[in-house]
Amino acid sequence: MDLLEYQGKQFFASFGIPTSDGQAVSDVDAAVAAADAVGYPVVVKAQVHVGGRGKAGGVKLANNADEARTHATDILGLDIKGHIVRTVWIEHASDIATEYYVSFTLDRSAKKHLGMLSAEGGVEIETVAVENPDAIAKIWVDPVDGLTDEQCRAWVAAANLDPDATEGLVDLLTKLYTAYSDGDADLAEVNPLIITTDGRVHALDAKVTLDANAQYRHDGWEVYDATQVRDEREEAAHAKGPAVRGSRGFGRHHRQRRRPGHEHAGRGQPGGRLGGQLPRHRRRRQRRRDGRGARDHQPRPPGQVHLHQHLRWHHPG
Amino acid sequence: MSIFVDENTKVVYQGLTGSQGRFYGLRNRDYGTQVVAGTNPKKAGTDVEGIPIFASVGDAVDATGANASCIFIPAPGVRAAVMEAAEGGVEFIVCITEGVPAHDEAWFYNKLKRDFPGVQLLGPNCPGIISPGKCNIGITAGEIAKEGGPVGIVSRSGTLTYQALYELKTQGVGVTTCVGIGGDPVPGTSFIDCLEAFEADPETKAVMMFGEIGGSAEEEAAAFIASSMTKPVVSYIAGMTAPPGRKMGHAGAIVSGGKGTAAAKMEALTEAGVKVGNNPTEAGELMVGVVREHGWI
Repeated sequence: MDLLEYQGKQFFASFGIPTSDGQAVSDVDAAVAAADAVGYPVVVKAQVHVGGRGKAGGVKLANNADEARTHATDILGLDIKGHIVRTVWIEHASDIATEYYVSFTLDRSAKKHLGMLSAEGGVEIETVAVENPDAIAKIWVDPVDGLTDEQCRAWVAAANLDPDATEGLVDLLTKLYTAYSDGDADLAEVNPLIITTDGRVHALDAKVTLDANAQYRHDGWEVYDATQVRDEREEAAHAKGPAVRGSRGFGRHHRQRRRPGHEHAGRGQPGGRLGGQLPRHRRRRQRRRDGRGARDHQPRPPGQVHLHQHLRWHHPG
Repeated sequence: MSIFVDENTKVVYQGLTGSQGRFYGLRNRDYGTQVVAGTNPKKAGTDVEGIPIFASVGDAVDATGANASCIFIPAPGVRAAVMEAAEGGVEFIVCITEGVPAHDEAWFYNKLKRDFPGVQLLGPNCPGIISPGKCNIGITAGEIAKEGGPVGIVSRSGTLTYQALYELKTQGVGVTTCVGIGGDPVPGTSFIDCLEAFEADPETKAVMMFGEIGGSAEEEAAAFIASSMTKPVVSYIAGMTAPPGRKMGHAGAIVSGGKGTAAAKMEALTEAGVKVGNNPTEAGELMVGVVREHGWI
């Protein structure tokens, strides 16, 4: 589950990582109001699930309300690599002294968590990896031990960053690992991670992918789920997914296969629920949550009963 | 001979009292697997159609001599269930459950390596393991597998595993052991573990390996095949048309940053001398060809 930048920042902030305050808005007037509230100069940033926003004109600096209005008007509705911008994030512009890169992800070969830290921030890490691989300091973190303070310090030292910022960096990286690990992220990336002109370490961007398998143990992931971009087929699959799998955790191939002679009207069987429909006990639970009783169900108007249903009800067997 | 399991394997089912555990546990017993116990802390002392239920894997091992476990516990309880099995003293753990968080998998993979190096974990998110005629642990339909040999199968995908078994059976080719390693990002048993075991198994003469997109397990397997395998390997890679950045059914089946594509994996395997089929049936035919060529049937 990919988070938008502002969601990633909120996710980071919940683990104590310093990020810029701001507001996510979806129309021009709200954008100007948000810019007034956070204080000029502000950055207007397109919120889409795709990289390269800056080059596509999706990130603009505004020094006053007029500029904020112009940029918000330009960016809202902009098409960035096929993604239409519906939301912009307005934050106070930071005074940047230095830009770094940091990320945590799972190294599937090593079966450990891989941390990458580089003094070359603000550019694509894939480019750095090809052109200047020595500029990336890597560590492999054993999931059982977690990121130790000692390991973190050695890592920061290996990356040749500003020595004055070491304490701030160790603190932020430790928190970032916690966010990645306790937050059940597949990826937690900050690019750029900045040192401000007054010496603070700060996450200026946020790229976070969460592990949907872990949703059962995190409250509030529904808001992230709601902003996922899916095409028609994926949407249909997604609508059916949780109904089939539920939080009990078994996979599709378990639930869909019914044993022969099993007296249960399951999905796709006579009397069973429709595709995408919740099972009966969960429909009931949902009705209760919505304040509707079982008897509030609107009966089907006469004349709309399908023949096969009529036959099943009135001529069983 | 078979790898990892045989007719002497005694299995305790964690979650035997649940609907899925009961269904497959009893099916496995009907197949001939020694299903000696189940666990459920709240139902210790009872039984499921004659299979005794114990409070923990440790109790079950003490009472029945079980040496393997099969986990049918829902995803939130898998991490604890794996550790309970290892601490209980079994040597082989098969975890069927899908939907286990990747951080849990990475954690117990490393925890087992460190504290229980003698324990082999298969899965999670796998169909299990079958040594036809001897032992079937998991959700594979036993009747689609022909016993004997000379082929060993290892696969990341459940349904493709069945496909491989069925293709070979229809051609009269038997299987020594068929291992489904599962489609998650951190599988307990890798292709290489299985290839190594098949290479060492005298009854296995050739290996069929079904991979899929995502990660680099197939590339690593290709390097192993080139350096350390003498037996012929036939392969198929699922996901030729997979769009990048999408998880294709399995949590681990994702092409990310241009890495883990089917084409790259097929190339690596072909370079390692593996015969790669363009679809499961073609792979099955290639395998039958290899078996006939050597006069193994």
